[in-house]
Amino acid sequence: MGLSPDCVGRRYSAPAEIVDPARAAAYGAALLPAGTPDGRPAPGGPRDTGPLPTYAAAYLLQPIVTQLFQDDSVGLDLPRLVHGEQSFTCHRPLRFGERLHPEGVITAVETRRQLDLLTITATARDDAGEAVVSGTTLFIIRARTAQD
Amino acid sequence: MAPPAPPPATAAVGTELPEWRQPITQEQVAAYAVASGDHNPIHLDPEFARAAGLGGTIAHGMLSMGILAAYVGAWAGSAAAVTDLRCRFAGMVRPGDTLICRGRVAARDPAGGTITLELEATTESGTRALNHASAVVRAPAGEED
Repeated sequence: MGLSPDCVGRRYSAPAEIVDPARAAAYGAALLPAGTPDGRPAPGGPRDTGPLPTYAAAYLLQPIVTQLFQDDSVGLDLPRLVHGEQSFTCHRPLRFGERLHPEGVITAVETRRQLDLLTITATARDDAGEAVVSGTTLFIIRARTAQD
Repeated sequence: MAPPAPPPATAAVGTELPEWRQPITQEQVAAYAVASGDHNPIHLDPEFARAAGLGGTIAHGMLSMGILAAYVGAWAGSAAAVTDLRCRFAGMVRPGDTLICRGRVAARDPAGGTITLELEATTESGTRALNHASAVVRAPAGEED
């Protein structure tokens, strides 16, 4: 295994983010440039009550994963890393304008056949410390071969 | 044009959602990189992607997952109604592909006020882009089975 086995439990945090309706609208427009098939804008924009759960990719996942990727002590072989699985859970409705505090923790590393697997769970908390959105990411790192 | 799907309030277990077909373009991938903050050059730089053995740029897996989230949110009537979404990234999607989203009502929980959908996303050529995908949607208040 190229991954450091003692990295489980390692924590990351990122600066607080405001859930910005304009940024959420840009996110929705990137998903559906022409809107929905029946001519509506993508859900999760300013006309909606809150953003899509996957908008957490922007304010939660990306800031935390960037830190993970910069942590050389984890032993990630980035050119051989692929995003294997992703989940998002909203613990309560997310509102535009609220401030969220991103944090993440490596919850598992293991090796199966020629693959290293790393799981990181990221959570966005509100000012009161309550979890609002959680995302769990599985990264798969292929082993290097003699041809590499 | 396909008939509209029954809304969450009345959709029975087994109801199929009308499929969505979303063309994927390089401009869209570039816009997604800006919107998400993921500027990995395998999505943006054809030369870099070829050197990485990918044969050209590929779309972010999270772009496909986001389109699937929009598919569910549009059916549910609000993005905020989607309380859980998960998937496995099974195959690559490239600019020029069309992503096809499909869904089916798998379960209803009147007590909890939720509906579970089974989902998938493929390309027109049959590549499975997202599998083992599901969502939980908050059902309208007062709904009864």
